[in-house]
Amino acid sequence: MSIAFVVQRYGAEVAGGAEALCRDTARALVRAGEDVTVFTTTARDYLTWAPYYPVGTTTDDGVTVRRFAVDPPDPERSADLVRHLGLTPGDPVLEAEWAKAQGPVSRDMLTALRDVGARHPPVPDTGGCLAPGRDCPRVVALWTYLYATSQMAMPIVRDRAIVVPLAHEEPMLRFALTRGVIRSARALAFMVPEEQALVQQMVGTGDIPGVVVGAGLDPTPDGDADRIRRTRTLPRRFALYLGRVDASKGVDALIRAHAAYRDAGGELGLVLAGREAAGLDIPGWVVTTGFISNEERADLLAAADVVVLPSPYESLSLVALEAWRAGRPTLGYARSEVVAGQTARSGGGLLYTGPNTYGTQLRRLARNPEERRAFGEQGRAFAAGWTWDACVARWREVINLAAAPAA
Amino acid sequence: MTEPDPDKLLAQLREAAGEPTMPPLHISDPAPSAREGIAGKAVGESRRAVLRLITPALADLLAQLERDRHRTQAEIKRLEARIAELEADTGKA
Repeated sequence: MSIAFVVQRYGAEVAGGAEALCRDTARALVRAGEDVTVFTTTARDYLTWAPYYPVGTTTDDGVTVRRFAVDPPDPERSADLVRHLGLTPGDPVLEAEWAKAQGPVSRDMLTALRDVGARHPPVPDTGGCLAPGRDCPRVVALWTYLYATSQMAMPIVRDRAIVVPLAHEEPMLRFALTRGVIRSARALAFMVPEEQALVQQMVGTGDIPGVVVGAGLDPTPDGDADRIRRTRTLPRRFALYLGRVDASKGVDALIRAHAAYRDAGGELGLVLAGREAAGLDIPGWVVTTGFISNEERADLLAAADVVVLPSPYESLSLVALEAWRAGRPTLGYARSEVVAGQTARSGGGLLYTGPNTYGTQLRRLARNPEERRAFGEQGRAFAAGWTWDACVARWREVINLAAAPAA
Repeated sequence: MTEPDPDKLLAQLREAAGEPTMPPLHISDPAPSAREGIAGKAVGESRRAVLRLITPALADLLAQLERDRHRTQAEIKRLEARIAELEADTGKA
């Protein structure tokens, strides 16, 4: 079946959870025999959308990638408008201005999507196209509700649109434009049940069908704790954070909570592994690694006692799945419904609600090797179900829902 | 054919949005100072500056409140449906 993905950025060089998930899913669908074309921009940076890739068509592991130029955005105006609309949502003029200021607005991409639809309109009785094929996607999946690529494509492709919201609790979820994107979809694809509940309750999805498609985990070699200890100076025992080292990911609150744990005699050190955002004040006792390779990632997981998940905003915690696959227990921030739900379903760890419970739970895990092993094994069994084969099967379900004739 | 117009597309999207499930919570801009002249202007500017400073934290709180409202509303609907179900069962018995 011919499927199109629309996404704001795409490529191996693009840093971003949503974009990586989109790319992994496209490649998994192609491996399973589907025909996937990605409509995306030439950008790598999500603020400036500056051209990085050339305009044109290429292939990426069998995925056809069509890249289009974008209008220059206005990031300062976009930030101002988000601040204002975060407190006072609903002004259609300001929301439209925000969408254009944030971008990425690609008129050429919109023209290409319109031309595909105009050449091959859906057949009313079947929901399919008159001439299915590479240039006539049976369905168009819009990745994330947040960017102009999805917002402006939706009115063009709504007769065959799947939306993959990748939503979490954030001001933009309350915007009228967001309701427009989500309520116009033929079907919705979610990462976890908590994301589905969030969107259903906050946006009101009515009878639009939704499927929790999730994701798959790529196979990785086992980590080697001794190898990473030979190349990096690590605490003897430590809690590990994996991901962007950024206040928006809850890392500043994590450092404060861990400092209180240490002051109370806690024995685990803290290792932050990932790119560091500017402006975060990291004390000297915290070990930072900067960007790490996949091998180092696996090795750090093998060396860690516990993996901490401090982000309050998630639509899927892939780090939790990675930790469980490596047999490591997690300690997640309960305010994230997604992390709490994943932890409850997996039995792979504990939750904390603030600095006090962070310390209590971390002490409990640090002192109980049997419990750590039990959580790790439960997590490992849960993560084993997150395969790309299973994910592709769920994607086919949502594709069929979107391609089915309208009621 | 001309190229699609972003403004028209966004207007179509706004039309498709319909009404929110609940009237959204909002925090209005600070009221202007009752004082006149430079002092009034300075007070107004200060109020706006303070609001601007705490806007990210306020927006975060507002988003949490909205989430709680919607979750509560969904739970009320679920309980109402359950009560209706139980009442129907009682009626049958």
